[in-house]
Amino acid sequence: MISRLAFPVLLFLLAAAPLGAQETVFRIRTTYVAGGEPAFVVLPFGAEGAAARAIVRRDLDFSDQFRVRDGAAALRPGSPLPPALAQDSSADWVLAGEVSPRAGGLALRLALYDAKYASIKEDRTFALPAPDDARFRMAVHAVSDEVVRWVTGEPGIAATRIAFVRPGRGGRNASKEIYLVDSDGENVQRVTSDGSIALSPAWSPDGRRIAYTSFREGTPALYERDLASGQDRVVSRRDGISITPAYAPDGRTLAFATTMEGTTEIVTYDRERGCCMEPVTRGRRSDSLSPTFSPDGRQIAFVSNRLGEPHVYVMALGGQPRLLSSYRYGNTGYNTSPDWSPRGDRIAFHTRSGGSHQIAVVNAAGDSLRILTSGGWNEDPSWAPDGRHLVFAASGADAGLYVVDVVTGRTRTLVRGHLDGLPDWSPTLVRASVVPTAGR
Amino acid sequence: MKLRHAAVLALASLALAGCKKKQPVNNTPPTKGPVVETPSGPTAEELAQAEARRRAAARRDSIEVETRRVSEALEEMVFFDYDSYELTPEAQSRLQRKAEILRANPSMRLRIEGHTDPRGSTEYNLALGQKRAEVVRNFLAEYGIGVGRLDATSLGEERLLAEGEGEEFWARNRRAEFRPSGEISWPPTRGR
Repeated sequence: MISRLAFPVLLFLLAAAPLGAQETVFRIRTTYVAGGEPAFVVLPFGAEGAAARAIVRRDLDFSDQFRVRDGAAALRPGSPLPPALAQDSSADWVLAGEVSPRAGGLALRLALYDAKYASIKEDRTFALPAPDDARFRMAVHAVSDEVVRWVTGEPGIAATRIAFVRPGRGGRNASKEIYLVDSDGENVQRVTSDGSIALSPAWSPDGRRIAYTSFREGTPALYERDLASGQDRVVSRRDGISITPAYAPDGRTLAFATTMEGTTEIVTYDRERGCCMEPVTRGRRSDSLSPTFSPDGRQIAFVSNRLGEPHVYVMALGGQPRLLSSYRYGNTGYNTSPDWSPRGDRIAFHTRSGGSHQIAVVNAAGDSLRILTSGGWNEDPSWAPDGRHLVFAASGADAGLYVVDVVTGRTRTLVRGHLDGLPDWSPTLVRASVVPTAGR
Repeated sequence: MKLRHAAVLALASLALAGCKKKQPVNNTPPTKGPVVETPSGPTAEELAQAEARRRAAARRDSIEVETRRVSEALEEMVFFDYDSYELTPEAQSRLQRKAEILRANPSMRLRIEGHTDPRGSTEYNLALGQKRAEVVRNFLAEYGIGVGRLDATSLGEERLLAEGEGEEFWARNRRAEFRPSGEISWPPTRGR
């Protein structure tokens, strides 16, 4: 969890170069400039609404689209904006909220005011479970995503989770298991308990399943976990390895890498019918792995070492691969772990830069490659559904999972204190449930 | 491991085979003549039995020594250069020794595990480890070992032998490990 005090510290570290003797996890190359986003005032929701308000306020902040601050005025949603707020030229949006009991939980009424015009833009009531219900936090996150959509036209990313790999204690023979964490860093949950090595979790597009690699039967094989039932089914258990799964956007096809006649090749698999492995790549002596689909499902980006070292390629299914990462003759390169943005425009991956690994982003067409981080050792980027936030794994001094907004450069800690890695950002998992009310 | 069990079984069967039936003692009184005191000492039978026991023990020891020699040679690791799956001359000569042993012990199998150093990405290192295991398997196959006796798999960077920074540590992790199973053939055939 990141405290508010940490932000000015992070900003200082981001702005200053070179750094002092203290080692940092990484530096972001975009300078964070505050002040460009609309100012968003969140008013109190009353005593009953305090828990929901805390979640909403933080989600709005984490969207990196507003300058969020707290207001003091008690305002019933739906009532006219008091003159003090209406005349505050530093506010663009004002959010008022109120919680009331309803069968099975709470009702949260939110009114969004356009401060410049002192008018109500949206006024809705949402159904929430009771605050002690396990689904409460995600339900509030879904409401936050609606509020973001009210302002920007696009839903937020709060009602999501990140799957990742966490090693246990025990040094060299420790096990690795799959865990989940909510988008705000809360509610870490364990998914697997094999006592073996689990790697490379990948969310299905409907958010109900996670494909992953596990060594529990002795060699790296591919499984699919149904999150609701906790049941696994075997996807691929063959001689050699079955690794790096990725779902196509239709949720029906699963791509992964597996040993075929002595090399690692990418194949697709029909998970609905539970069969029908089709080769996607064919290298004679080279290996291909780590597929990631474009949002239209027609292309993949992947890793191949056909040039001797791992590079990222893009290929239309059935077509010819095109090199995406930079290649300079005689230079050793290392580019792996691509992830295609859900917006389709960009591909993130990690690359060897200045002797360490750093996060890079390139346009899908192959131009405008940017190295996003420096310092430390940073790997395995994964896009949020908004196509502008990335989660990645940093190792070294403050090892953990971090989230960065590629537009502003703003970063935050997601989880820290363990050697967590291989994160994968889920799709939106829950949508807000609106309570219809008369007259609105 | 299976090799030890095989040796124990071999020892047990030898022990049983080494026992011979005792001959009855001759109790008929001596014929007329001077009474001769025979010196107390082992009879011919006892001498033969002791010799058989000695031979059995020597055979047990030989089998144990041979089993240990075979195990060690088969389990000896081979090492690789950075980001490479090429077999160095040292690796090749170790693999040649393994091939000879596998040829001489046709019921033995070998599981080959490819490993990497911890640099580089976890997922890519799984593929690199598999490449190393496959290269080893192909080399042994070229020496006449049927691929059905050889399993090739990868543990990537997941089971490090040595941790730390620097080439000395990394080099110790870039390896193929071997897990033999099955029984040694006895007596050993030529081609040690």
